[in-house]
Amino acid sequence: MITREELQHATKVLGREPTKTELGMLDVLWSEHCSYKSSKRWFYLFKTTADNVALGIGEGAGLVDIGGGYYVGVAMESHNHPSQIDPYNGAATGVGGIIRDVISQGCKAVGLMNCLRFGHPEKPHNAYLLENVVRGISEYGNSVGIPVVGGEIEFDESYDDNCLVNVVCVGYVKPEKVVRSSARTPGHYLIMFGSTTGRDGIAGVSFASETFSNEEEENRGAVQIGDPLAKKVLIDTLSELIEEELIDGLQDFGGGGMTSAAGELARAGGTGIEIHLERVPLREDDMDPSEIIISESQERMLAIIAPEKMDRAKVILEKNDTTYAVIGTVTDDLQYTAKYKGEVVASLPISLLVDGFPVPERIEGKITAQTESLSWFKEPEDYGTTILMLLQSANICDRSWIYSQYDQHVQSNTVVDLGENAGVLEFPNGRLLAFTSDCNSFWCKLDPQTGTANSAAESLRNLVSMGARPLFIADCLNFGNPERPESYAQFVESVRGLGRFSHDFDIPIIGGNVSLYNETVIDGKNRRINPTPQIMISGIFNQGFNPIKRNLVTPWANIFLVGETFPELNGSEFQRLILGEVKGIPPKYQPTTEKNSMNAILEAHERGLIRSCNNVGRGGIAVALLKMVLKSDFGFKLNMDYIPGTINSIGQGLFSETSSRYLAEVTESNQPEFLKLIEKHGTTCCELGLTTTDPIADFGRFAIRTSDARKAFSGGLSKYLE
Amino acid sequence: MSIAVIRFPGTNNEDDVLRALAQIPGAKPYLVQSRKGLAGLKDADGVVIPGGFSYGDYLRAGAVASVDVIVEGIRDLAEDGKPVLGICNGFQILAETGILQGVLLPNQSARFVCKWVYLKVSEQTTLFTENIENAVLRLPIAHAEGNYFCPEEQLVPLWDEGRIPFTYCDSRGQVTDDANPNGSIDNIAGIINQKGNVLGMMPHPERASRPLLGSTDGLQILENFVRATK
Amino acid sequence: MDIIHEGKVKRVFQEPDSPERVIIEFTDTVTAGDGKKRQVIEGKGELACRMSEYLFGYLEGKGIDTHYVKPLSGARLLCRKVAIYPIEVVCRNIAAGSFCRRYGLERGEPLRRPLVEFFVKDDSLHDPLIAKDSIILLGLLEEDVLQFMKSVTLSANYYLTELFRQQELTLVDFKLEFGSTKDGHVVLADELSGDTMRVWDNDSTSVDKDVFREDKGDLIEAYTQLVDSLKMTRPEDVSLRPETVKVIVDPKGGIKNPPGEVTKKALVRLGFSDVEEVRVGKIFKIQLKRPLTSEILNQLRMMSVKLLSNPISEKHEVSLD
Repeated sequence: MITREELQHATKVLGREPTKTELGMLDVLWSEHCSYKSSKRWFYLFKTTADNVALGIGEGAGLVDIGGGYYVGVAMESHNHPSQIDPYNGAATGVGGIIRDVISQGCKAVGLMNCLRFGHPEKPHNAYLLENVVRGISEYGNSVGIPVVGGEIEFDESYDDNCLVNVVCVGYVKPEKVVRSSARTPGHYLIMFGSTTGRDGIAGVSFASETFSNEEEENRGAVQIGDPLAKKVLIDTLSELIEEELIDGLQDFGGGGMTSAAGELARAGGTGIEIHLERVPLREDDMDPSEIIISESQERMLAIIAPEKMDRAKVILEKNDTTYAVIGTVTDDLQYTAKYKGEVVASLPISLLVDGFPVPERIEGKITAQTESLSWFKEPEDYGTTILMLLQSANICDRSWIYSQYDQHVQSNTVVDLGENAGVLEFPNGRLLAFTSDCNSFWCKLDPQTGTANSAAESLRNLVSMGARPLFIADCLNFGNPERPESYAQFVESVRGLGRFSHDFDIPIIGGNVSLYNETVIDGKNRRINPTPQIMISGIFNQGFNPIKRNLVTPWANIFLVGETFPELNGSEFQRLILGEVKGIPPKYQPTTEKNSMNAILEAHERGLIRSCNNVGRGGIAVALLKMVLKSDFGFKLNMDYIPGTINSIGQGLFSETSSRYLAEVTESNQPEFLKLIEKHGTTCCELGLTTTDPIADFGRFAIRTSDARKAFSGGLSKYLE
Repeated sequence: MSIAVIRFPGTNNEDDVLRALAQIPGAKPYLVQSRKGLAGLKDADGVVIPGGFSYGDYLRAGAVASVDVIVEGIRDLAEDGKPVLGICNGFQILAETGILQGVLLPNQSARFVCKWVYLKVSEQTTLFTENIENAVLRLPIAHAEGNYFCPEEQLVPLWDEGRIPFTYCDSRGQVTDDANPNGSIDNIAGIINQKGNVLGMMPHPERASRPLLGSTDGLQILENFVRATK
Repeated sequence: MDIIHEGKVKRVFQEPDSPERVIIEFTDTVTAGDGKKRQVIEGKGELACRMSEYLFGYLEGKGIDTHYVKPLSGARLLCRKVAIYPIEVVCRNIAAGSFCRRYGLERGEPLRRPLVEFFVKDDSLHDPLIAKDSIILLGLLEEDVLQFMKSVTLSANYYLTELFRQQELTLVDFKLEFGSTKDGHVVLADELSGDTMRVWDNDSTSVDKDVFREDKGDLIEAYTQLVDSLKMTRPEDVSLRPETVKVIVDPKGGIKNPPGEVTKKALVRLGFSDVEEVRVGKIFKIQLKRPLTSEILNQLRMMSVKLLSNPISEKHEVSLD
């Protein structure tokens, strides 16, 4: 809802009261979701440029040059509030929306990712949300024919009332075929095509910019309904139009519908637009103009086409049986003028409508300080049982129940399936790109800045462990109510963390989204999600390099642990399982050490010294090691007594979540060269032990049968789901 | 060896199939949009119906496509003895039209399933399995309605006449319940018609036709198919 | 001509040149009270015949199949030969006549929606009211035929009501009879006149056989008023009403139904433990452009087999409810 301050400002600028239609338009464009009014002011902290960035943050998709005459494109978005109300449609239309962002830049969409957060699935409602979100994503993405190449999911009761659905779409485009989201030339036509316009999703963005209360049911009208078959036809039609270079500017109808689609095109082009709402093809006859202009019906695009290209465009649209209408023209008056049957129902200066809102005051509160104390830590009596418990934990266990519902192979470009550290796709220039996303919301809850930077580092390690160099970042920042100082502080601190990371590692952030207001009042109590900055990083492999997976592949090879381990168990999965909560200072972000390890591993990969590799993250070395045998025919025999660092016990060594660490399988013959590389890059390592042909994970003082590990790992989630 | 690869609205594997066929020497695959009707099949020596979600799978997988005009042309080609390959949704369409017997029901789990499976190739030679009899192949599946079923009176002749070239098995070639990803009767993953020139299979041979993708076990099936279109 | 049937007020003759045609003659006899009251009023037959001709023609124009073919000289109509069903259908919009007596209601009480009742066509039993299930279980008619008759009756009610409304007349209730032709088409038969319906003017004054039944006035005057009113109506101003039919597709027994199995487990998980089995099917709601006819129904059945259901694993049912 538009605030009083905003209404006063609008009235002042207009010199009159806004009309009903205009109010609706301002409500959607000045919503947090569309305007970023609480968050934009902090984006200067991000590194957003690099030599190979062709198009950065700002339009539908970010574009990076990957050589061979191709750009890779990425867009990332959230669809949290609709998914809480109607998980199936909310998630499906989230996928639909992100695909549209990428294709409206002219790209062909080749991969999807989804990052989810729910309350623990032992509560039936959370299981219901999870099952239906997954089904929504699956049915939509599979139908349109885009493979899912990555994703992650985390569970915590803070998400009980505010689930998170963040989606990513990646694609590629040739530089000469890039379409820009701007209306540059007055006199050009606005032509909308795709599905008809109905009442679905009216004021969806406004709804997304509010916290939930118990009146959920009334919000049902705000959910959009997707149609993957229509999307597929739209994609085919669009690619024909783009191939023939008929489109001058393009924007999809996303949040804010017609208001934002046309408004943003005009804003980017420095022009105005005039539209005639009665020309919009409607699904429901009795819609009034204020509804038409903010409807968020799915599968619609808005194109700017020059008059001399209109005839050919119409031929293509008709051939594909696509509904379309010429709804207006680009003007030079810098106004958004909407008419209905000749009568002007809205006339707003573009500069007011798009970004013209009064900047709201936001107060950054204090983050509660944490202690370093490990007084809660007790050495486990039975390491084996503890490790099996960790493997079974909802935040670590096998997710194949979920991802086996996604088509991972359609388009035949998938080189590495889900279930490894990153998904890998082949691009048409012959290069392989890896995609991964991560966020440890527990670290972020305890220290948003450190937690964010370290989550990004974990994401980075996923790529590096496979042999890919980081290429770009996209992010989706999910936080609470910015009007509450403590929640706002979490957001700002997190941005600082991500900003630091992007500069420390020189990786540009080229796309992203912010979702605020993920807080609910239940029975008078405030419940807020953990700070959840979802960080997606893409990496690129050297030409001809075969991505390295994490399953042990050679008998009698050495297993090395690269990096030092400190007693950093606060904020760890181990702590969360033992205590039922997290507290204390989470593992530190160590940019220098992180860089040294990264460079060592990357060079080792380049020289072909590593047979399999895993990064150490949630659950510590214990979990990282076991993940290397779960899908392997091999086991290992290790000695955990001499891990470099400052830990005081085997338990601390097994479960600490210190950053910058990797596990590498190196054969005997490659060992000397490997050790030299470690030294060269200023990092440490130690030989933990050997791979064996027995199905036993032998840690020295205790052993676990790999079959028991597999059983624990695979049962973690599926026992709650159907 | 002109091979028509059909695209219905909602088909989404046509490019994968075209690409996989194009690497086979002599193959001349070309795309035919279903709206071209019978004219589109004029010069075809063989037909492939690729996977996807024709017409959104909105009614039943393959049901609406099965009454599309072009399907009558496919039926004619099949009767003429020309090779016809239906992959995934293609298999569903062939079953809905009756060109192949049986029906593909929703998976046992009532969920979409995408994973790599092993297929045991039957002993009896068929046009599509020449030189790979008794092999164990690794191919991916990706479907929500792959649960093959047919009544007893059709099942018995299928076995007796050696018309079941592929059954789901484990990595060692054992046909077990655990290896069955969708509940298909007798672990059936594909069947051929009585004439032997039409194959419907749920797994995707085109997705296992390049080393980079992890398996080339599907290539041999496609090569046999292309050879038969001569 | 050979007489096929001698009724209380009409005669049915075999058309000599067409075996599937009959000639229906409307006599001047009028009866009431189950035949107890009887009188011959000159001109009545002609008026009843004209009314039937007009109303059948009107309903045919809206897409309802009837037995009417064309008018003949005198009080006669040429009609298709049908085997008349032993069940009459009555449709009531307002309480009147025997309905009031049965339930102790005031004449003129409107009903919230049209009521369809069935009666056995049997003089010796005095045409008793009969429940739908009784008809089916006594083997008098099949369920699908009954549904069809009810659907057409409600369509006819709509079209007749709208037509009379143009002349500020209210259709209170009416009786229909159906029969089947040689090729199995179910059509509206018998007559549509003041004898078979109740029509009131603005003051709730009867313009129908009640005038005779209750000695309230001149029958010829009333029937003439009706016919004159009908002549002034404009059928083209009554818009077609879409009719909805449902096709229900069910999984066959004995065939696995995974969606049902999964749904059952989910129900149990949510605490609903009394469920034994769940099977998941589909309902297609099909809106037709015009009223239902046997032809349309047949086509629908064909579509159900050809497209809407897969006969290997599913059964289907057309529901007109």
